[in-house]
Amino acid sequence: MSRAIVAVAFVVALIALYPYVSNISTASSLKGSYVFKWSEIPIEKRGTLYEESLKTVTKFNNAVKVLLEIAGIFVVILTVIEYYKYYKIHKEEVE
Amino acid sequence: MMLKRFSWHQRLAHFVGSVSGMMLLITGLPIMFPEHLGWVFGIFGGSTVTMFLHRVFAVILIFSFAYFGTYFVLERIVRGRGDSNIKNFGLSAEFISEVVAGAVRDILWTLGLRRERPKFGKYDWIMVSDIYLLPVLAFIEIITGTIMWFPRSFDFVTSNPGLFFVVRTIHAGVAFFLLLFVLAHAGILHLTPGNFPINMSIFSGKISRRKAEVEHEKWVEVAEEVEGEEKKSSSKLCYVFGAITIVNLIALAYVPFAMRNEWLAGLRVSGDGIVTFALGLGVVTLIVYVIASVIAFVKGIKS
Ligand code: HEM
Ligand code: HEM
Repeated sequence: MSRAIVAVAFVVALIALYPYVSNISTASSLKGSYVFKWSEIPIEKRGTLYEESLKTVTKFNNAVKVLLEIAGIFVVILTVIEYYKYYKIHKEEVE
Repeated sequence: MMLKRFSWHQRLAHFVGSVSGMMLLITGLPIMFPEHLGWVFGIFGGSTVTMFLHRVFAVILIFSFAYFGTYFVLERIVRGRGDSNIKNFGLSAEFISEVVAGAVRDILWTLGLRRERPKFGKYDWIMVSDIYLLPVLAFIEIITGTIMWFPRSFDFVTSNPGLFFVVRTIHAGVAFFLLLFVLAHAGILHLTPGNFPINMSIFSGKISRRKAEVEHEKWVEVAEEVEGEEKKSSSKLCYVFGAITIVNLIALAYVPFAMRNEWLAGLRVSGDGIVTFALGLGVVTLIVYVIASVIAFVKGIKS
């Protein structure tokens, strides 16, 4: 049974990898089809699209910044608490 | 006396996932913070090579996500949960409230506000949280990374190139959080008294019965006994390295406050001593962990 599980998981992984491996030549950003350029957008649409995306990007930038500020403080507090917990546990284990 | 804590697949999954994840951080962070981490490009031989390596490790991460993800889900369906305390794939309200209650009681005990430490099964509340959070974060990185790798395959990017930068901000934000995670995770599991210099459980698959009796009380009775010798460590050096990691985390927690919203360029940080110190020490620590993981994994196979 476990061989069958390995086989199925392997097939799933190969299928998942196919699009990446078949395009590995694009893996160096110099060669690949990197960033889509504004110049490829029709000139009459460019202005409004730019304005619009600027708004969306700003929203996300600000949201990610706030989330990281909170996450940083949270991780520091949790790490200090957990470190102290292992200190207490170790005292118990030694006894 | 030792107990069997992790299966071969669990150890391999942790090894492949964590080493590729840390290498993705090492090759990705200098793109996010070129002013502070430019020296990393030098190690790999330039930014083009570094970006190429980022995609190579991305392929390894995607493989491990797809392979081990499928394997663990199928194993669970076919064989049941075994000695794990995670019931119903962790999705029932009962299980979630058990985890939350465990967290609250555990923290209260640590702070001296509760007499008895709650008893845990194989995975305590923080481990359960890690087991669910990490695959979700890896998945977000895979989706956003794929969009950045093949922007032309995604209609929303070709119809509005500006949205590419939203994707990049999310990718970079999650990456920064993962840096905090790895330092906290290894700091708690390795740099603490009793664990320092290294907690071999995830590498050898074994834990001492004595340790499990205190840390995973409810699991001991269902755990399988295995051969092996326990190594005791009692070096006081753990406090020095523990302090270094905590100082590093505090300095890193300051970094988001120094970030400025630079429109399409994303969140940028200018030259700043604390930021340079925090990121530099963080990346050096990651390099040490990658090397330590490889050595420990090889030792674990032999043991
Ligand atoms: C643990 C997982 C990962 C981490 C920590 C990570 C980290 C990073 C970071 C910090 C950046 C720089 C962002 C910026 O420009 O400010 C980046 C860029 C990038 N990442 Fe990732 N990444 C991860 C996974 C992936 C995956 C799975 C893929 C692909 C499927 C990927 C593809 C990319 C691409 C295409 C870029 C654009 C920069 C370039 O041209 O090299 N990443 N990554
Ligand atoms: C990207 C990096 C990493 C990820 C995503 C990761 C993820 C995880 C997860 C999900 C677990 C199971 C839950 C838990 O015990 O918290 C775990 C366990 C563990 N990890 Fe990591 N890990 C990473 C890096 C490391 C490193 C660098 C080390 C040490 C050098 C390490 C050592 C351990 C140990 C010892 C355990 C087992 C704890 C136990 O006895 O239950 N991990 N890791």
